[in-house]
Amino acid sequence: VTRTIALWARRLVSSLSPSPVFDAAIGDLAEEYHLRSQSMSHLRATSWYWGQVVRSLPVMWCAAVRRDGWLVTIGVALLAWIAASALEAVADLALAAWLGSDAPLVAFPGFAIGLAAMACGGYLAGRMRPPAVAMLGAMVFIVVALLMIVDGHSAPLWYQMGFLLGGPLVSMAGGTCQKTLS
Amino acid sequence: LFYYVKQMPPRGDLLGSLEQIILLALVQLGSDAYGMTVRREIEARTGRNVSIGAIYATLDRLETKGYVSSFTGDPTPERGGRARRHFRLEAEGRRALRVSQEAIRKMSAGLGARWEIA
Repeated sequence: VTRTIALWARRLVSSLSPSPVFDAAIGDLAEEYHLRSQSMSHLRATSWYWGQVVRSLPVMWCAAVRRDGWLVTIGVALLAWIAASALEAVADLALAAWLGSDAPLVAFPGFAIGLAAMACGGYLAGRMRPPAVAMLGAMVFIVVALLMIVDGHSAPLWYQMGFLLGGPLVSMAGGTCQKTLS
Repeated sequence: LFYYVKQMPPRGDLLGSLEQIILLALVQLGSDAYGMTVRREIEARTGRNVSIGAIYATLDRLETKGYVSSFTGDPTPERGGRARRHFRLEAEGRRALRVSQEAIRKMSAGLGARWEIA
């Protein structure tokens, strides 16, 4: 079980690592985990690894953003969001025309299109600036949370919660997908 | 004048405590300095459990300033196929380290009994 947990930690840190500059850090973690798992229990080695992952990711992300520039990173994240929104609007219109309905697609198809568009946004952000992926995820979370507070009755709760949690996750998944493919 | 300009640190040249510790670890480790060994060296000597992310973020900043340089080694299976990134202290870094150590030495000189922490 601990080996599986360690494997997941490794996958997490590999996919969320904000920049290729930090690839060596992931290798270092793997090397030290390998050494530790020989001299101590897998449980202790795994908990050490998770501790390092949790403490390292925000620091590495901030360093990567500082390296690229905060304004550039925010700009790229905004651009990716605008592109994702445009894609979502086009897909919504196409689906509405196909279904012959004027009503907004609040139900499942609209939800799926929204998430798919956000994944594309994450992919685009990752292609332009890797640290912008996490920035996009954070922006989606903040904006959806604000919309829920200000205009919470405009959509069903499952729809809002789905976007609140799923939006950032799929944008990160899009960024991870781009990283894996490249 | 050229000598003084060369010896004079640029503005903001004083290093932070982690920067100093990491540069000193590079001096201690010599050619064997890479992220993991730097982290272990700091832990062994100071007891400070620094995250690998903080080590790399600091080394990255020091490299941007020209205080350290890095080169990539060969990938190994126990590293998940990822290469080591070795670091080396450059002359500028050595000078910045000396200036920071000198500043601490000068500030703590003559403190005597007041140095005792209550």
